[in-house]
Amino acid sequence: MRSSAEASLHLGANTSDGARSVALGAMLLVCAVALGLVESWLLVWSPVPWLRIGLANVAVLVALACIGPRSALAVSLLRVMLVGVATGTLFGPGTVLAVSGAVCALVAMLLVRAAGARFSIIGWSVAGASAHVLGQFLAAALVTGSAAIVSLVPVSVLASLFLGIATGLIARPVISRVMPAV
Amino acid sequence: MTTRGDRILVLVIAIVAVLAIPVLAAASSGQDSSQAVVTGPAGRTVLDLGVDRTIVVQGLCGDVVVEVSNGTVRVVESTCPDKVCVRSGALDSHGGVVACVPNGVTVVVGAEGERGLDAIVR
Repeated sequence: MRSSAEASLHLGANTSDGARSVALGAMLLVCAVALGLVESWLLVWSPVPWLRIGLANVAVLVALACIGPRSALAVSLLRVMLVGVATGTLFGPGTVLAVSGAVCALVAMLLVRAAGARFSIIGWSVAGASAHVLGQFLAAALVTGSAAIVSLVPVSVLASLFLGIATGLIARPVISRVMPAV
Repeated sequence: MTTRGDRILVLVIAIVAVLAIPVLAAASSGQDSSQAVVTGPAGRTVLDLGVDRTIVVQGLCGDVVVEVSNGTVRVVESTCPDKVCVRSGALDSHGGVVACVPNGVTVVVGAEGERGLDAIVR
């Protein structure tokens, strides 16, 4: 969680604010891991097995909006690592997919965020969800060496639009309550 | 509230995704839809959907069992942790893809240009 401390120092915040950011970042990381686990249980009933709801992205969205990009990156990547350690799949092909998706999602959300007030949190979330799908499928195509997987991308991206809107709607009230505390 | 930018973003992504469906389908067409191509780290195996058969493919973290029965092909067993491939179910001659990413194994039924939307969402 060093990076969240760095993020707030970078913003010129005082030590107390830095500590708050670290605490909030750590809390969001725990939320991200928990949401990811809940999602993996829900996955059993999913009609489309490879499609994920992206609940963990709620925590990343809150980190990005309330603390900053470095915290969001830390929450996102550390979540992947912790889930990898917990499930014993760290550094396997699944981790490659997850990291690729997470990085693409964060880059897309940063780009949309840079556009300022033109996009709300829903826009960030939708951009992140679509980019996550793209990153994950490109990594899957590379890992399996099969370009045929890419044919699943359009339908998954369409689904991610709805899921992105949904996670954005969940994140928005959380952000409006957490923001005053930072 | 959503902004105008949000709505435009959603619309643009949706249009690009819809337009990409025929493009990607055309790029991967030209294969025989009566056959399933099983690709693993060790190589490719072509299965005829008309002949019931079960094969074991060596994956990256263990064996993947692929079964052809009644004109459909499916992954019946895999050593992967998430079992997405097993839950993906069976593919028939309409085409589609089942992938076991942890094992690096894919099952593809060809002629993807002919298939409908519901065949992709398997």
